[in-house]
Amino acid sequence: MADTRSLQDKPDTTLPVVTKEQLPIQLLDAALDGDREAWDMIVAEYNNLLWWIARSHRLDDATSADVVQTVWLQLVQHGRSIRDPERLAAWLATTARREARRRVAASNRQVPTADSDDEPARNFVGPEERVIDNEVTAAALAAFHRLGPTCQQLMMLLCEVPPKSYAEISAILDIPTGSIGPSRQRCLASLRAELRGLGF
Amino acid sequence: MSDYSNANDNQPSDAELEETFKLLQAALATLPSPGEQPESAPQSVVEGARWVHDWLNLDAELARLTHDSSISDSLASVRSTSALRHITFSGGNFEIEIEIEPVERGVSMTGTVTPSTSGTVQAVVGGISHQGPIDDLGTFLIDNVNHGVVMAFISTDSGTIRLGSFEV
Repeated sequence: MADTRSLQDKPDTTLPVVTKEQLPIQLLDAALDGDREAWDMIVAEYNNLLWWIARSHRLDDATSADVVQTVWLQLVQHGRSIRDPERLAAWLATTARREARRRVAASNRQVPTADSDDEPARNFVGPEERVIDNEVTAAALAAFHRLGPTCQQLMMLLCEVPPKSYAEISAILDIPTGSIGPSRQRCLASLRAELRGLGF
Repeated sequence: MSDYSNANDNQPSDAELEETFKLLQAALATLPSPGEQPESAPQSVVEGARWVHDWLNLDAELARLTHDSSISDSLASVRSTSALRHITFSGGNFEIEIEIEPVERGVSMTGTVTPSTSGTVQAVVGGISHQGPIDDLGTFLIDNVNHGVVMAFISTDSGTIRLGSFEV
């Protein structure tokens, strides 16, 4: 009988910090030439995006994980044919959507089997499981995740319901009240640019 | 990373920014609690992504898929009464036959390496690694594999053989 274990048992599980300036064309070329560190940087940058897109299709954890791994496999196999490597994020997002939809279609064709006793059928999740429920939302979260920490903090506070006043936000972030409006617009512009970079 | 100081010079219109704000607001509202960051991919998924690169860059001979009963049966319009699927790989002076059987959760894979040799087998599906021995008769068993794309290799005294990826 084979042992089953998560790959996280392996050492060296931290991902390197990557700067946007290094992405993506040089890293992709290096990774496809066998550079593991370059590959790790690409994974660090885009793995959550792929995960969120897979989850946005209401796939269970195991299937979502396989979608992500399959997209990475497709990248190492077909990465050199990507016409515009600067659009790597959009290519990954599109490939993930296509793969996730294929899995959804496949699961719809399968005859359901009896649920096991110790785990509910995760394919049929309800709102209580708070899954990300569509691709645009997944992309928005991915784009948000790519903002700097200051923008993330500010936008989190601005998006709260009920909304916080500028005075409260000023006190929390220790920034002048007058800078909040312009900062909000700049952060939103950055977010919009990130979304466009992801193909949305 | 984007921050206050390095926003794009080509500013979108106020209406476009408000549209983006509403989109973000809706997205953040899906999070379990206010102020919580989006759920990151589990560490096993990260490791699975890394494995793809390691697997493809293994110093190993590639064994190619030479037979898949699910394809040949389909082409021959044979209605099989068996749930078993047989696949065969050839490469590195070895032939690897694998019988894939549905189990309660996913599949089990029973393999035979010819000519018979002992060693180990490792397969990864969706970031989950399955490892096991190949006995003196060249047989191995990998049980409870989730459905998905399998990336596997076998290691013997005479070297490592990477199997072409296949879906179960």
